[in-house]
Amino acid sequence: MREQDTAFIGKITAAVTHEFMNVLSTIKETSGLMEDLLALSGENSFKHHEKFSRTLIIIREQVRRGMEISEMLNNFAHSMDEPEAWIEINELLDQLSILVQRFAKLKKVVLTLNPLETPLEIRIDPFRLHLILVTCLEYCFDHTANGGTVTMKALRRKNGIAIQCLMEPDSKSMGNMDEIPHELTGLQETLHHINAQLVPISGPGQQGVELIVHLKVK
Amino acid sequence: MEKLKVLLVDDEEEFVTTLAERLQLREIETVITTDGDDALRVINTERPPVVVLDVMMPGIGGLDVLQQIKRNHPKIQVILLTGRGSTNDGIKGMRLGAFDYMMKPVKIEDLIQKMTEAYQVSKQEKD
Repeated sequence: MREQDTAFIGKITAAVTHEFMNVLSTIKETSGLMEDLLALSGENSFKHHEKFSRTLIIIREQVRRGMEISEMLNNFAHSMDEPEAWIEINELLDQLSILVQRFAKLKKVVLTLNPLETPLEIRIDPFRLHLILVTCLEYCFDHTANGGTVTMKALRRKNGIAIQCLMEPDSKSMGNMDEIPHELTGLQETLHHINAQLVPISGPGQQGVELIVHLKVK
Repeated sequence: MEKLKVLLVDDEEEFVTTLAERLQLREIETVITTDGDDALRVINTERPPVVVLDVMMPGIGGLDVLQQIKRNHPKIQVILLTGRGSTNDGIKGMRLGAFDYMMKPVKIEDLIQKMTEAYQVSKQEKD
């Protein structure tokens, strides 16, 4: 995709998610006001007091969830602002894991995150890094048995970092993974852009891919 | 005890009106405006010791309003409300003299705590 197109999508998405957050903020304050009034009215003031309280807790939780997703989508949209930016790797992985939660859910797979021990800022094209990682994760989701776990693990390497997408393969995918699966070969150009490479991981009961990014670390 | 008076500035009218109602239930006096120009006019008449100011507003933005408040009424303490992921705006605001910045959505208890601290500073500056 051309840089201009990407920036345009990013701009519109960022603006819309900002508005969406405003809507959620208003719902949050309004339900907060209802909670305040309910607390003031006392428990026996009307018949459905308890049901109202429970309903308001559900609204509060769903607003929190909506805000978290909107915030992540807003950050993702901003990843298209510039061709390169400083990003903190653990924050990015955290954000990514929320964004792909829906894909994991549809495949009935659990995604877990194993971040770096200490935060690390790197300069990279954040949009392309997202694209590669989401593609790798989707591959893992597709080849993991129902109820299985996919783990995204970050490791420091001598001249950069590695992000592993590890899966517990289903019976069809079991076997040695000696090369990058064909579903991921289309990433070559994008990998080249960010000075990274993908290598297969194959071990007993666990397979996956490792993204090695050669970095300029802050 | 003296009642805390706060000016709330946010272009989301439903949001700011509801927030004001919640603060009033907690014995905090509120004045609301939905744009920067209006906020600057209201400050001249109401003289609130504390202003809670949204950064992202149409027309005159929150950081410009902050600059004008600090230039003309340095004792007024301004708390900025920024969107998540807009830490840079908060840091810019601190350099321009904001008392502090908080990220939306903010818990009402945390906001009241911050407003109370700002009010104390504002009172000390008056003495």
